[in-house]
Amino acid sequence: MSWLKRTLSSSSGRKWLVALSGLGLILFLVIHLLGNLQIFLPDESFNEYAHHLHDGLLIVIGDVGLLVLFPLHIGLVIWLARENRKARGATGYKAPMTATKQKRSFARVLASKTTLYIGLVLLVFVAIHVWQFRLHHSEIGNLRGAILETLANPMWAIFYVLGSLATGWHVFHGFQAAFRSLGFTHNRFTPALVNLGTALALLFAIGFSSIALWIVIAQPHI
Amino acid sequence: MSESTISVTLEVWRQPGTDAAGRFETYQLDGVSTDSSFLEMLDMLNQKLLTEGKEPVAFEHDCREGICGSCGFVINGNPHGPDRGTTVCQLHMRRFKSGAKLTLEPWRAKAFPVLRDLMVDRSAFDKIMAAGGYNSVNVGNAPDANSIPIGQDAASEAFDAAACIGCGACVAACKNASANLFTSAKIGHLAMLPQGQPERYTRTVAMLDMAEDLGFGACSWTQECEAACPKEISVKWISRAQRDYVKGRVVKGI
Ligand code: FES
Repeated sequence: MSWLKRTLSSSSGRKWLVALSGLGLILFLVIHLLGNLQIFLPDESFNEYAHHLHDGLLIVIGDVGLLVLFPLHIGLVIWLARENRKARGATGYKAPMTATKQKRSFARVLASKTTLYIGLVLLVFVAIHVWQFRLHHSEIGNLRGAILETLANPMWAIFYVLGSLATGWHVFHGFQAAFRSLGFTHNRFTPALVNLGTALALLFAIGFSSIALWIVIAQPHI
Repeated sequence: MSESTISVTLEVWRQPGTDAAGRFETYQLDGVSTDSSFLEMLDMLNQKLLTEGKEPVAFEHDCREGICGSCGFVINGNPHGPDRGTTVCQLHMRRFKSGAKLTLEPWRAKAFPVLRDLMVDRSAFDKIMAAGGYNSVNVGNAPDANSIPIGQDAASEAFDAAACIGCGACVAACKNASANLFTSAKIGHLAMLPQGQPERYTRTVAMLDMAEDLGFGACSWTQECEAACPKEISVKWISRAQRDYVKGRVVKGI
């Protein structure tokens, strides 16, 4: 494990692991979204999917993967962020650092500076979400029914829409930044990855929130 | 073009020494020629302060033509002022409207302690260079030009990174006060050239580790450094240095 120790001993190495774990979590999100969207199917197919998932190997890989990736990603980022904060020194700037000479879009600049904080919001969101639909419903008889029931409550629906938007915002900056941290930069492919990240961000924001919105607005029968 | 004059209000960070407490002082300056450079405007302020028997504002400068990297401070939140690709010595007062209020602050970074007023100690950059920003093989007298063939593409790309003047604006602009743009530009131009290959990975690891040890932050990809850089050096160098760093650590076992 000496390579891991060497890598962790530096901020560059830690950024590399943050990027790798982040991309792993994005892969998980893609699979998670594909599974979730089956809730739109009328009959029992969502529950069947949930049963297959829980009986299969995928859930074990998912659980173990998330248990490794999530704490790694968050832990390393907090470690980095603490050092980054100290690097400015005791006296900060008086003039607002919203001043910028960047030509990139406002959203992109804003995302790059807020992704850290949105990450903390996501941490709370994920904790509640996992407790609600994974730990609390350890017995998954009718998971679809439980979801429909919960999200019919406008408060929960708003909570999940906000969580979906936060996820999109995090990925909007994180996806392309991960490739840069991994050391991948290219005149043509980097702009393509930036666009792919935007597409993924929109996919997560719209895809996940569509479920909550559909349930709270259409109130489908359980 | 006819010369005209403007008035500006300057809010300047005054700090007598590294360990002394600092504070902002406000000065009103009238009759500033729009043809004067920003530093000439400060010269004018200092002249005025001297005649009033006050301490002049300390700021660093040397070439005043944008090539040495001595000058630099933050104007209204922007390192080197509001224009892209320019040092503060190449910024001119015609850029500002009469009555403008300008807040001048030194680079803020733990690794860049303030020496006095707008002047900071950037010897941390020298320490990063000393950690590996060179080739240690002594090649004797200057060799014949073109004895080592280097493609035009590689040569000009290497030059893009070598254009770094070490002013420190990247550190000042970064929310993490990271020196990654400076360090990676210095790593990058050597990594582009055959002469830089033998020590490529040890150099990358040593320089980035030194930057971290000195208290500079890490990269969050906000890309403020590139926008603030008077030489408009690309953040792609940070990514490339990152690649070499991890390769050096994980693959080469440095
Ligand atoms: S004084 Fe030399 S770059 Fe400004």
